[in-house]
Amino acid sequence: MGRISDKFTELKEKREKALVSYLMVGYPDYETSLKAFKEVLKNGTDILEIGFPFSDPVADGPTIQVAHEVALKNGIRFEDVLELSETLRKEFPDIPFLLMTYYNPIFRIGLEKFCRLSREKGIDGFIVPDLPPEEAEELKAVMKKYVLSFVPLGAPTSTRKRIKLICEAADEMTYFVSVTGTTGAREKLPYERIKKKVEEYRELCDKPVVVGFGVSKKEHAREIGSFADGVVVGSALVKLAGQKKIEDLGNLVKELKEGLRE
Amino acid sequence: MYNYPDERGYFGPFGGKFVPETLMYALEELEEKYRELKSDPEFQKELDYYLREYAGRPTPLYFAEKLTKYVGGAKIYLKREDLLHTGAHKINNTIGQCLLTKRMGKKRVIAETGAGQHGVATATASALFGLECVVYMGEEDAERQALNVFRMKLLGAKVEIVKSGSRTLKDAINEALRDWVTNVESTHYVIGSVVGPHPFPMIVRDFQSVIGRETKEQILQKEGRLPDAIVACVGGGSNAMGIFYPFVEDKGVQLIGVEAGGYGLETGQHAASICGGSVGILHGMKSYFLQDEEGQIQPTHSISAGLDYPGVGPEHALFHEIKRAKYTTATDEEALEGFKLLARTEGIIPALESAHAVIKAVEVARELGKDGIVVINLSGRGDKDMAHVMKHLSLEG
Repeated sequence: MGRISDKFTELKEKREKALVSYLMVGYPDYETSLKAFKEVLKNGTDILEIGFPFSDPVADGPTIQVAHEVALKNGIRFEDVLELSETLRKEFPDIPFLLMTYYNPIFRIGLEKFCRLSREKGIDGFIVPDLPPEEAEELKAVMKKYVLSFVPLGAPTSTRKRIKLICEAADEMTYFVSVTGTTGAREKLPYERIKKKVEEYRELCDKPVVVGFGVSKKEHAREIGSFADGVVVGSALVKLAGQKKIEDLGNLVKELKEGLRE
Repeated sequence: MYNYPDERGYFGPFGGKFVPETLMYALEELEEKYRELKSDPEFQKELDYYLREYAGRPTPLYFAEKLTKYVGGAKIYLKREDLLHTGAHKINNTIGQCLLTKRMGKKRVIAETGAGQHGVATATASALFGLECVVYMGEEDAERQALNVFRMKLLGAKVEIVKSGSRTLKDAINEALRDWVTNVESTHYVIGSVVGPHPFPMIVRDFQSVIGRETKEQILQKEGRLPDAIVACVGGGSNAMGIFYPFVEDKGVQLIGVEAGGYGLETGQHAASICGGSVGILHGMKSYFLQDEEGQIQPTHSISAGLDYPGVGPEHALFHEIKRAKYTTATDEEALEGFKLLARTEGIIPALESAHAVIKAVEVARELGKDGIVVINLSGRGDKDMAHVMKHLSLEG
């Protein structure tokens, strides 16, 4: 379809797995977040997730909740998210950008307007954690018009029947949640259970699958990268951005990416 | 024939299941189990038993003669849900859902609470049925309702104080959802109102419908006809839906929902989602919410913690859209007037939530005139509100 499919093809040729990095626009403030986004893009991010803050982020753990809250207090609105995307797009023409937010802002701003402006400002697709395939048809119809890629989520509790439904909803890739729960760095991850789920997914779906929630260090990336097409790292990066440790952010991204090259 | 929700969990354009994928299977499982139990005579017998012997059903439909005389309009009846065990209608739902939890083989329940009524009712049913219980409560509400926090702990529940967001009911629901998404395999979420993703609005409505079914039977016995109007307060809307639903096909019965007007709709400081909000998606459902133009949920205000919620159940949204019910508001000040009025005329102290319905019913009774009949759903008693009301009312004599 577009940048996302191209990216996975490119990574396959290089025998690498994808590093998907998430950060929140406006956290801890707009300027710092812009620097943070650039830093993760320069140091090995393959796909970028751009967080648009929402007042009630039920799928997020404490670290990212704080980012939502602070970004809203900073007055971040849709136009700021678009501005950031447009700025980054000029510097990074080939990296896919996924906008991540909850469904209510998209619905209220208006599906048509939301999709059109996102496309214009360089966004390639959306991840909407509270929009399961059953409820996504209306949005997907408009996204199709603007050639935007819908990235559905899978979960440890998804049955075979649901995995098929998720696969049908996915345009170019699926985001599998590693464990039941909310976002947030975890010390240990149940690799065997995750691997089994990814294998089940592969039997039913041939679209690339990245795994997120809890992924925060090189070891996680290496283990999961050995069976999935990539990992998503959020809270660990958001935390460093919040502390304005921009250099550390670049180093962590480099390390994570190393784990995905082996 | 009124037949909602449809197979996708929609009440017309409202409702649905807007939740993280992790919860989707649990919702499917819950719906399947619930439909099975709904037609299981054993389950219904057990439910009836506990509602009757434990909770104190049926509740009286009391003719409020003194209030009627004072108002000088239609006859006013009170459906006395305030007389139930734990002091409010909430127990109808928690007994139902905790029995359902047992049948699903789960041993842990979680709940959110605003004023503490639903938390207490869940803690109570959990104690009765031997379930582990965790209640999420916003920090601000826990301060306003310290007594209920102690009550829940006494009943063996763990109370988790929520310090995120606005630290009220909305955030307690967010935190309960986060717990559920983490522990979904072992835990049932006992939602306290006709809100949330499908099948919750249907399940809570069904368990609360006992209020309306009894009311219908009782008014026919006493008056030989149906009432002209039924008035109930609406936060999430469970007591209102409980009394409205059995009358949905009785077109001659006006259904009137009273939302929390707070300091007045014009001030923007209220909790009236239908009268002052717009369509959006939160807590798993499409319905009316108080939000800005980019969908950020707005802070609410009401004198009663139980109505202090920025959304409303999707079936109320439908009732509003098809004009089956009329929604109006009562301000904090009006609610206090209703509170005092019922205490003075009938010797009944209503919950601040129910006081919103009382004061609007006075207007309705006057409009209907002497030949009319009005039923107020007196959803809870006011003991829990004493400390709070003392700050607002100065009493002479």
